[in-house]
Amino acid sequence: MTVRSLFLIACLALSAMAAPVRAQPGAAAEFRQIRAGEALQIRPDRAYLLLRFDTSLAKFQADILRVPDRTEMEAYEAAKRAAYVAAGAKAGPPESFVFYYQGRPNFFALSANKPLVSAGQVATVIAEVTPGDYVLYGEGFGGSLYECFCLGTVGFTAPAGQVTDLGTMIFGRASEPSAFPELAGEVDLGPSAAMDWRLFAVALRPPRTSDALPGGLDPAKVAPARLHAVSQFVEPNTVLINRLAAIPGVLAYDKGRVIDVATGTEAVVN
Amino acid sequence: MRSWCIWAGLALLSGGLAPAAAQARPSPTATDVPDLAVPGGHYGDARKYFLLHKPGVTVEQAEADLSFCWRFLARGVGRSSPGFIPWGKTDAPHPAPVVANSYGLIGMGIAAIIDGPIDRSLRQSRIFRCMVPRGYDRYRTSEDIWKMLNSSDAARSIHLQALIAAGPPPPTPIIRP
Repeated sequence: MTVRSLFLIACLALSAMAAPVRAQPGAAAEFRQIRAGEALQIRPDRAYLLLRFDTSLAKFQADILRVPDRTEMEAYEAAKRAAYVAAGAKAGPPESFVFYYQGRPNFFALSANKPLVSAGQVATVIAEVTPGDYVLYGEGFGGSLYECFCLGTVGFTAPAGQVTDLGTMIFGRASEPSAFPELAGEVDLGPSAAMDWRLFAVALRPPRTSDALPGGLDPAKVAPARLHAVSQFVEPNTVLINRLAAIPGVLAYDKGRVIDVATGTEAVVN
Repeated sequence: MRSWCIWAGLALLSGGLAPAAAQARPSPTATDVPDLAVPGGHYGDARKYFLLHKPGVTVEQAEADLSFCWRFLARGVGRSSPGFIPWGKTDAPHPAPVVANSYGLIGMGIAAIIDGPIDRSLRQSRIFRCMVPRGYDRYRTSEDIWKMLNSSDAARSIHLQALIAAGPPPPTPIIRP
């Protein structure tokens, strides 16, 4: 990582620090990363996500999105309409109206900085979340989204009373070659991937039988995530855009199109 | 430092709404494509300033590809977690927070210098990441030609670039990788 990249990442963090504090009510009820030393109790009404990070490059965060249900979307739309009306002439065109929703959150970060267990270069985290359908949305630093997987990623279901094992998240500099075969096709892209803001290549290696589980975790409560392809989506509030590396049997790309390997068809564009 | 960062954040926004700026001007034709030769080899930074070309692509397909990728050009500051994302709906770019610039005119001068280059690298990173996997090659160009092909008129920019992408290979060096 160049000094310039570090400097700009520091700027990103400072910009986030300069943002007005917008407490997200109910965030702790929706998402809680289990702390090191904390006894893990699997509640029957909550879901759990297990993710390992390869930290050989840096301690990133994995950004996830819980797909909101109809009630949540209706509440969001109603609040946005009310805010738009309240803004009056200052609101501008509806499509460019900036609205910070204070309702139930659905966007969270699993952070390698706060692992439940660390072994060598691998940090293992577990988060207690609301059961539902999730999208691996992107990666970031310090609580800010740095790079969305807007050009292709995966989704999965997190059932209640179960630990869903997502496998291992692997990172590389997109401009350079990488020894990780999982990053093939997403690295060695040349200098355009290392401009003022460095592009990172990211892969998700599905869980392997050799992957260790945190001590005290009942293996019978752990199931590998059943991943499916998620097509492109637009996210303007990110520094860079990228895609998750292809995953055999799950996610592939064909001339930029996102292919759901299980069905052999193009994933529906969002 | 903080002021610099705020200005850098503001720079993220400076081109954010350009894709929505379609104008009612007639579509450009092949005669509107500028001369792509760069006398004296005075090329811009190869990471940012490039032309796109794909052998065998039609103007219509190139226009569809460019239009698809143009959707990703709107730029705000990186969102914070926890938060809410209206999945399946469009969210407007979030502006950088505005705070007093303690460096006054000097700070504004620095901001003016960095604004364009940083914003351009963010923009071009998006085009690079979206178009290259679609089979497009990049060719070197000058900053002046690039600016002619990337105005605030999104529809015109897309059509001009589609004409180039589907035409003969540009007379400048190809960029690999």
